[in-house]
Amino acid sequence: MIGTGPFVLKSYERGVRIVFERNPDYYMAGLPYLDGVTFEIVPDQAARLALLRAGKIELAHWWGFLSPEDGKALKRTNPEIVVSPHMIADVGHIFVRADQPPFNDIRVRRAVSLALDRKSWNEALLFGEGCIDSGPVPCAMTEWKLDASKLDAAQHKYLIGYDPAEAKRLLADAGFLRGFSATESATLIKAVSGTMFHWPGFPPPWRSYYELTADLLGKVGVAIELKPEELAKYSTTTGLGKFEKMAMGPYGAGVTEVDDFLYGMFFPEAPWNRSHVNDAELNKLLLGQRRELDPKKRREIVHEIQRYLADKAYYISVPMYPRYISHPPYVKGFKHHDGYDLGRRLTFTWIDRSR
Amino acid sequence: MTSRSVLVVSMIALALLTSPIDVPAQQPRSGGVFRVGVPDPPALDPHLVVNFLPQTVASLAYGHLLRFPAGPDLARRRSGSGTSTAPRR
Repeated sequence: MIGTGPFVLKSYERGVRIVFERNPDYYMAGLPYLDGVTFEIVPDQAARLALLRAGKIELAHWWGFLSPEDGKALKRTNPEIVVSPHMIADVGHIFVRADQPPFNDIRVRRAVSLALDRKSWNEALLFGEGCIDSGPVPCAMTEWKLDASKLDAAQHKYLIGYDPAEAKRLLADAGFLRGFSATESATLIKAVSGTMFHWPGFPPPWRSYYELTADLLGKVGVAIELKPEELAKYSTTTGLGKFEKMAMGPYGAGVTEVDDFLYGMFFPEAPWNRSHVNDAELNKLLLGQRRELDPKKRREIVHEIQRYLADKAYYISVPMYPRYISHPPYVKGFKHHDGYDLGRRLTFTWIDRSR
Repeated sequence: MTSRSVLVVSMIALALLTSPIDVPAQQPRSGGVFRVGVPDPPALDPHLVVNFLPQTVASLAYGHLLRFPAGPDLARRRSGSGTSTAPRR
C-alpha cells in the first residue's frame, strides 16, 4: 500500500503485525519524524494494557483510547504515563429493526428506553464522568447539540428518562405482557424476546454495557440473549443493519460532521441506518439540513431534528464517556483530533527518550 | 492612543513575551518506531470493508493532497460571484 501519506506499508502478517516505514518521498519535507509505525496484533485489551505498562507499545488502542476505569488504573500503577481525558464525538446505542415487529411499535421502543437507568449506569461504570444525553447528536458536538432543557419534558423522557413502571405499562398496552396488572412480579411474562447482536471486542466498558442492558431490559419484561459476533461478521452484517431484532454498539469516533449522525443514521438509503428508519417527516428535515447553506438556518434545522427525534426511540442511547488518551511520556507531539486519521497524528509525533 | 491604552497594550505584550505556555519545550527528533497494540483488522482495504479499522490503517499510507470546494464557497463559484477561498496546497 503506497499512497501520498507519511508512511508506506512494508509487510502484513495476519494476526501478528502490520509494519509501516517512513515514506522517503513524503511531500512535506522533514516529516514524518518517525522511522516507522508497527501495529502489534494483540486481541486482548488486558494484554495490550500490560504491554503499555511495560513500555512495549506506545498506544494500547488505535487512537490511544482507554475507558475511564482503565485510564485511572493506569495512572495509579504508572504515574509517569500521560493520560488525557477527552470527550470525543461519538454515540452508543441499542439499534433495532424498527421496520419489523415488535420494534415497529413505538411503545416497545419507548419501553426499552425507559428501562435504562442511565444515571446509575453513569455512576456504576463511568465514575459519573459520562454524558447521559448522548444522542442522536454526540455530547462533544456542542455547536450542534440541542440542550435537553430546550426539549419538551414529555418527549424528553423517552430519550433519557428512567421509568420501569411506565415501560411495563407500555409493553402491556402493546400486548406483550399478560396478567401484568394483578401481581406484577409474579405474573410478568417476558413476551418480548430476542437476540442482541454485538462485537465483544469493542474496548471496555462495552462488555459491561451489554450485560447491564440485558439485566435492565429483563426487569421490564424484555428478555435478551446476548449474541457475540466476530468483528468481520459484525462489520459486514450487524453494524450495517443486517440483523434480527436488536443489536448494540458504538457509532462515530471517527466521523466528524453532524450529518453523519443524522442523515447517516436515519435516512432510508444510508448504510449506517442500522435501525431501518424510514420516516417521511424526518426525511424532509434530514435533506433540508444538507441543502441549507446558511450555518444559522442549518443549525435550526438540526435542532428541529433533535426535537422531532426526542420521543421516537429509533435508537436507544446509552451514556457515553471521555476517552482517556494514554501514552508514555517519551511520546511527543501526539495530538488527538476526532477522525480516523491516525496517519496525520503520527506525522507530527516523535519519540524522545533523552529525559 | 491614550496613556491608559498604551499601558494595557504594554502589559499584554509583556505577558505574552514572558508566558512559558507558547514556547516549545523541545525540538522534534527524528527516528524510532512507534508501536500500537490493536486487535486484528478485518481487512486492510478501506474500499472493501465499511469499517473504521481499515480506514485507520490506511490513513498512514494515504494523504490529503486534494481539497474540494464545499458549502458557501461552492455556491459562490457556481454563481460566478467570487473565486474559491478554499485553501490550496
